[in-house]
Amino acid sequence: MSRKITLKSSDGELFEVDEAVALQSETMIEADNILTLPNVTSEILAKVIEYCKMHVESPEADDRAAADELNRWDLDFINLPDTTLLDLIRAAHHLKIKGLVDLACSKVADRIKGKTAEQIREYFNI
Amino acid sequence: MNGNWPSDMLTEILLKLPVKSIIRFKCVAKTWCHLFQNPTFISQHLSVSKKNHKRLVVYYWDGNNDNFVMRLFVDQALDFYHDLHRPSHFASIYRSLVFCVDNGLFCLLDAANSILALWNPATTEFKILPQCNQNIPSKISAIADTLGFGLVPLSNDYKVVYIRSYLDLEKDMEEPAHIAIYSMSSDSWRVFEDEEVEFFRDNHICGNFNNACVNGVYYWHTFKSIDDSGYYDHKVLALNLGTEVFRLIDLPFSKRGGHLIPLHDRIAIWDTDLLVDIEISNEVWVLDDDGRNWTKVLKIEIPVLQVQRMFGFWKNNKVLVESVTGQLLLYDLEKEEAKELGIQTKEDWYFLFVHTYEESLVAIGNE
Repeated sequence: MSRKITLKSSDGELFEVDEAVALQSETMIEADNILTLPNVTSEILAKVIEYCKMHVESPEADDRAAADELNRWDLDFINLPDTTLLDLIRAAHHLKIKGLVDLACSKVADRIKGKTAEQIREYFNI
Repeated sequence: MNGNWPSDMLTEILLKLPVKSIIRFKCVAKTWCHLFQNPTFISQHLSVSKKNHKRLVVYYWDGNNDNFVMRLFVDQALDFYHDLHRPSHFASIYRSLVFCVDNGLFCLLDAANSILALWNPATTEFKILPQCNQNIPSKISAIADTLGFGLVPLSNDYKVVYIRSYLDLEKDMEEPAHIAIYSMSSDSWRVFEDEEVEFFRDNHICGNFNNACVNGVYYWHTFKSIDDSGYYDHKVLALNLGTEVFRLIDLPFSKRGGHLIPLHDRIAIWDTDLLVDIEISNEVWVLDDDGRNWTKVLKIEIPVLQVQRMFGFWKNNKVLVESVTGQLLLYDLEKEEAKELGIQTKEDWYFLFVHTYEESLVAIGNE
């Protein structure tokens, strides 16, 4: 019977995840049965869990079709509004989910690469 | 929009930006400007570039339009490209252009005039190297100039190896090759002493299509004739760019040369040779960590076309090959399909050079 971990978002909602799902987050797996996340809203936490559920099993090394399909899912998944993306990066960074940090940061980089310096300052509130 | 940003999170995003954007964003904030010049950032950025944005550079004689083209493919499928324009003196050097690419930098050689340069196409930085004084006698006829080039791992120093073979017209003899090495960090040349290079002096060191740099070791294909048998003794000459020590490595097969190709961060050799009448295996061998023994890893057979040369692997079980009709093709080993890349050189001219490339922020240093 695998362990289940409960996550509590900043707005008080509870999410239960299997150990296999939680394994992708160093923070989650080190926690006791309940992990409170005062900086992550339920909206964002739901997205994080969705990603982790999809990535529980990595495709076999030579299964190109499966790898391509997961890739396509990732690209579709990460196509989120800017504010959501940035919140997602913060959450994934806090939860130490490397794959999600990389995916979300690549998406942001892609979105901002064509901006002017002034637009960048606005975007990051510098 | 989003309040405070831990700097390492922001760095994660910035590491994924293309070089052009990073250059433009230098003025966003002083901290950003400093970050972009930080050697650790530059090195991490290059790693991301290598992992996610590997590109292909092809230099060839375009038989259809009668000109030389240097083309940069910017996507993995090799559908999108633009042509590169070399800076300064090198803009009008074509046939005598020899070049190497490693870790974001190009080393260019104008073999006719012995002019060498370093170039970062992403940042557009360009620098002509100081002349290498090698005590070359006045009456000579150059036979061949060969290059070696690469980044010394963990050091940020790029080195250039310049091998010049020539005929001394007065003595009417081929002189032993002059070999010198340039270090970007010290901006200076060192000529190898006889003791360092004597042991391979009687080997002919091959020019630039069949060589490769892997992890700071440069590998050349070499050969010398074995008595009167008509066969050659082929070996690999390796130079550790960090220690500057040469080594000769025996091949896992004899009497033919094969193709040197990088594979998964190691050097490999493909047993193939159109010119030889002996049985070839089409197997690919990878050099072991001991630097002496080779391990067979796979077999590459391409039944659908005749391959003149193989340049190396591309993503996902694909290889880049030149057909006997002078076309550059991306061949899928699984699907056994060849994809045309719109590159057609003149048959038999061998004027086709292929290198992988990734953008880097690395500064050449111009003072």
